[in-house]
Amino acid sequence: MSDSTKVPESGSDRRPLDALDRSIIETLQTDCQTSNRALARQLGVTEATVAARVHALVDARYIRFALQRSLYTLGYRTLFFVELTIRGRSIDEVCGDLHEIPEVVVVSVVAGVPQIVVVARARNDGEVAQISRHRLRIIAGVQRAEISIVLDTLKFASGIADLTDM
Amino acid sequence: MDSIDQQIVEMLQANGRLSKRAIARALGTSENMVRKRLKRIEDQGIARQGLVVDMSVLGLTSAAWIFLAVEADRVDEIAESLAAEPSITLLSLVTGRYDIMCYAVGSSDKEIDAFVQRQIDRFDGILASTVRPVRNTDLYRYELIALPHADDVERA
Repeated sequence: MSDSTKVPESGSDRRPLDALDRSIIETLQTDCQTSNRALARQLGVTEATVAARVHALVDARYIRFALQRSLYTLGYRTLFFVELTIRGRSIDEVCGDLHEIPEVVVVSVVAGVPQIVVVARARNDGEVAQISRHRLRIIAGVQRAEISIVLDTLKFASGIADLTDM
Repeated sequence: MDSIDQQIVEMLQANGRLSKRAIARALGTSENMVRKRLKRIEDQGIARQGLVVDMSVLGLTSAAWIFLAVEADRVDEIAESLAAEPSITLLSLVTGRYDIMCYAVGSSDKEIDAFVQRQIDRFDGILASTVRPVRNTDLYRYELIALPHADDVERA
């Protein structure tokens, strides 16, 4: 696992975006491999300005460049959802334990009960039961883990995320 | 993937903005070779270079999980239509109480509720819905993606 889930600490005091920032982001959304030189030429500023802006955007957690690997070709053929009902322990502490599980891909804290929605990966359907039994249901505070196995994924757009909370 | 592919992937995992020129220099190969290999890695559905944009940049401040129970013969039609909506960023067909689980983003919880209501009005096959507003995204390994049709690419 790469360390791209770890983000810099500087996201809290954010500079608001100006028109140049927005143009840079828009161009990079179309093609994230656009070079600083090409961006500079297109936007009529110097390459140094673009480099400084891109660096600041990453630093403020507005954007992040990531090499995104396919779960399938990594050998994970099964995705599953788990709705966790928590009792007698803080949600944050349970989330902390979930972070330690490499098979966990997404952890959302939601309004109401069950309090946590998890998306996780497994090599096959059989491994789902193992992960549930040996990794999820043994977490202190987990009262119930309701599993839905993914039959097909029609959309998995990793281009948008909440980068500030993590 | 051979060992050179592996090294390219590892270098980009460490720094997603690394230029092809810098990768080529580090590996003692040509920029053109790096370009060719990256294209193959992407074409085979192994990995892609992506940009992840914070929701706030796009004016999006709310998110919710939407779970839907749908009439059996309309699951595919409804799922495909929903997946085409820009506000839906993830959509899966699942086993269990619900048939469709998806993730929606919007400018407010209210807007997402209105979106769900519009879908219920639009398709008469939605039998039950649960909207779970997201209070906090605690973890999101966005370096992992389920590329559409990656299975077919691999088999081909």
